Amino acid sequence: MKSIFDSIERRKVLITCGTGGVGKTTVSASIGVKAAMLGKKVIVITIDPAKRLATSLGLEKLGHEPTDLTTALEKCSGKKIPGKLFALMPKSRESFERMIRSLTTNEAAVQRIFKNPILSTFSQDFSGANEYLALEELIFFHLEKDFDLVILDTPPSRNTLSFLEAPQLLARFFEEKLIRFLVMPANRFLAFGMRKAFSVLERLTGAGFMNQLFDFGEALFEVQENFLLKLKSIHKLLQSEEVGFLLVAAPTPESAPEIGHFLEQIGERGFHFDGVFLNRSVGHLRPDPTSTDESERLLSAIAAREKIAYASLKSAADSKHRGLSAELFYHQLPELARDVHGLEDLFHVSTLFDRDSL
Amino acid sequence: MEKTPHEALIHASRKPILFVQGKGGVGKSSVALAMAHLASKTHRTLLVSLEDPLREPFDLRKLSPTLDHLNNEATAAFEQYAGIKIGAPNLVKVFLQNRFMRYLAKAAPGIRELVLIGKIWFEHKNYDRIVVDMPATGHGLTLFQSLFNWGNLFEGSILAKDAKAMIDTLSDPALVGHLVVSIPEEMPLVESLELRGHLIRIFPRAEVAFALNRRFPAPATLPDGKPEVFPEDRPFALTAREHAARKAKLEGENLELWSGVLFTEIPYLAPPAERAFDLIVEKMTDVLRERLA
Repeated sequence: MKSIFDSIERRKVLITCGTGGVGKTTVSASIGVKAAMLGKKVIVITIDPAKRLATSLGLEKLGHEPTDLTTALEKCSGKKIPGKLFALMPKSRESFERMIRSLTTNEAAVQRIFKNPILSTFSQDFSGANEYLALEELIFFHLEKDFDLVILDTPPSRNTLSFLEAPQLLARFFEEKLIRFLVMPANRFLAFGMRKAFSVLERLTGAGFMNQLFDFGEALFEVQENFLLKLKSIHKLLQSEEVGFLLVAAPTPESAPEIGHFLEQIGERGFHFDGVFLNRSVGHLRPDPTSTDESERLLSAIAAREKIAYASLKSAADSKHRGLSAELFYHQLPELARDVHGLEDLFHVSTLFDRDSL
Repeated sequence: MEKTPHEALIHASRKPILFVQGKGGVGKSSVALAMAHLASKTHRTLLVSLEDPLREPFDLRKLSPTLDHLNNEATAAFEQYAGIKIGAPNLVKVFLQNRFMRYLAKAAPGIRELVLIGKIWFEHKNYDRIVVDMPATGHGLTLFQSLFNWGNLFEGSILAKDAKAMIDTLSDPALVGHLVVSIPEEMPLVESLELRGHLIRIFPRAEVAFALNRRFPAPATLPDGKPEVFPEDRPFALTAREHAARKAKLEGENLELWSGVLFTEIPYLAPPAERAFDLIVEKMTDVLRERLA
């Protein structure tokens, strides 16, 4: 892609990745703003226990249903918006319920899954299930609703890669038929090794948990076929030309190895990488060479470091991306001189996409 | 006795286990490394990072004779834990090579968090001081939350007993300190206060110290000693002078969110690009040494 405009034009789904604090949510929302201004019906989805999207949109909170921001955007940009802009911050519990209900019409099976303590524990906030939920939201809004573009702000996680790993990991559970070990009555037909392993697990986790685990397995067995189909379609979608991955990074030298590693993983999975946003750069500021002021000197030092960072970053990215043939874009986004407080600021950030790519 | 801003940091620095926490991108890693360096002057210290994808699982590096740096990783921690608990080597092998167990270790939400925190707990018997470079807010909390989740699910089992023992250790303010790092921007400042709330909900006696990293220096003043004022309707500054002045003003306003909070300030340290991280840590260690004196 030559620029984010190509991505907005050609992709149906954009997934923004990056470590915490680099402005992933701000960049995702600004791309949403730009896409709406270009006539797309777009939804920005963020899965974030810290509720940052709402804050950066200037809203008190965002609900589980999409919030239409088009009129608000027209007001603060002073422009007629040909597209539509929606934002959504899903709640874990509701996403889980919707997903399970989409897999089976058997209400008894649904209830059995909901009542299982393992599931209810891990569909709570802060339980580590966010990556899975993000995918559920992505597929739902891409397939079931008529959006031109779905932008997914990936959940903050251990590292930038855990999101990429989630679908394959889940699929393995069903593909390798691991679930069958959970549904064999009393383990009678299990191989010796398996029986041994389960007895160890029972010793560690207790009989109560094992019963819940078997119950969980049996409950999921009912939906496994549809679930596997769904995971396969997610993986196929992620590998398709419809989906582009974006990386948001800080313009510091520390970002280079991380970006290289990320691109390697993207390539290995057959995903498509579109480009990098170097966020909150101060390189645009006109320096006063005669100034002896400490704060101005600090800004110059940061700007000088950015230049070096950019060079090492570009070489790290290009070397990993070689062979994938497609062109990468690099957008450098200047730091605002105020906090991002609402749609208006996101609108200002989005106007910067028009500047030349680096 | 009058409370000084650095008192909480001094207390935190004396705890056997220190969790350095905060929003992503606020400089947790450099603060954690600096705190670990300082602790290692007088104590055998372990710095723990969580799942650095650029390092091998469980990679242990010696940073100095008294400072080790561990890359904690869940699958390796799961294997070690299983090994200790199961005992008999043959049985351990059967268990760990089992496809289903390997899957659980890798994929079950929450299990990874449980063994990661378990490894930290396990190591605290081997070191005088442990400094943990925690993942960003939400995920850091998941680590603590998992202890309670699994403690309930595994009721009456060996694992529940261990989870309970971990909770006891981690709830004890004599053993554990929390250092929440922020930068003077609205979202990190708000998030760090929320983080303190969550920590106290999880561990009611938790002692939480605050550090404010990357404080921008005061800008130049006009001849009358007052700061130069720039219009605020412009989203982007044009000159370095304008940006510096507006940034300083903004930081001052944002810091009102922390009124009543005692915190240690660390200035914005901008090193040359080469060896940037090392240099920041070196400078930061000096700053914190001064604060702790």
